[in-house]
Amino acid sequence: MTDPNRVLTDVAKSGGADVSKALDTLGDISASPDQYRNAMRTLGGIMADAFASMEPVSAHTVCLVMTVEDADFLGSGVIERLEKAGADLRITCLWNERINQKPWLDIAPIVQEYREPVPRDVDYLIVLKSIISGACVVKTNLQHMLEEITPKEIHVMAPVMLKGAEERLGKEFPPHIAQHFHYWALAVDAQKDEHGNVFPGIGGEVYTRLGLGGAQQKNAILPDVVARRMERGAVT
Amino acid sequence: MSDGGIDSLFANHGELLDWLDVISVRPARPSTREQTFQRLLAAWATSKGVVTLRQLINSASTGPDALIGPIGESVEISQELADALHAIPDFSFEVRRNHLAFAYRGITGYAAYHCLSDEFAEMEAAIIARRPSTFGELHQILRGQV
Repeated sequence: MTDPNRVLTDVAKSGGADVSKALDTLGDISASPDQYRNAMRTLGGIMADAFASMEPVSAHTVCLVMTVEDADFLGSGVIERLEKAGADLRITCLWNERINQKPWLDIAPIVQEYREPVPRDVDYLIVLKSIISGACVVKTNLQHMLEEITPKEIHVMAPVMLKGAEERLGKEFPPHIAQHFHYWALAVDAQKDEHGNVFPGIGGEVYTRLGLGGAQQKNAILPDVVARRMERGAVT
Repeated sequence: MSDGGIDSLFANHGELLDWLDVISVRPARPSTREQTFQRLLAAWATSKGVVTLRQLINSASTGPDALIGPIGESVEISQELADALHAIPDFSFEVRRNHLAFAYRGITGYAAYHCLSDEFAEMEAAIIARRPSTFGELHQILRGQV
């Protein structure tokens, strides 16, 4: 049964029972890191399938932007399905350092980046994140990309979003840009818990749930998906 | 681009942008200028008593965000460290405002701590002692996991 604090989106409903099961795994604090990782991978695949069923990605260039912690799990699920759908996929992986020492200070500077070549007028830009709450990281990463490219379409993809996140993110950009954002979420949650985490959300801090350590340790990770693509010479 | 207050501040004070570019480790672009400014504000907000501009900048330059360069003599890294880094094929680096910036096969980034810090000295010692042969081995150390 769906938590009364949560609304499943039409994208989730089209994904069937697998969506609810995977979302429940994220919210289950007794789930192991492997179970959690698999659930993220599943959700990434479901969102990518929904996206590819609505957008003609075949033979189009898609730039997928994701964070280091999401890359091997949620990101891998998206990559696998978009490549299967025939997209010419270019990935960007960003290592964000989160600084929120004060209630009014919340920034996420990028300390490292893996970037495959992207045409300036790329067909699709997808910014992927495991959860969008205050939208600080997504804002930073989107802003970073839009300083260099002018995508024809901009899509924001996350399994779970906090109610109002679309409006918060939209306000960070000029209206003529923000009005073109398309959102792909599976669940919209209405509340945060006493620790400030979205509830039921993704069951707490994603780094620790994935077994990646804390905020510092996760930035020392070189995701397998990045290492593989580097070795095969995706950047040439 | 995003915050109306910062946008108008920047628009009305071009000299502020020049000043941010002088202390920033990053290439000049709107997003990093905004972050650099906010990082300085955070350093000021967490400071105690009267602080000099130098102290403020140096406080804001402590890692691991690599936004602001510390004020101090420009340093070059030791030859021993440079040799260890050169041993990794395709790895390139430079010191930018006392921060080690690097590139490797599509990756660009910064060491977690600036070259004048104790943490950087620990990273340097670890790299020289372990002589990483792959970027993967080096990467963990550069991100401060010594």
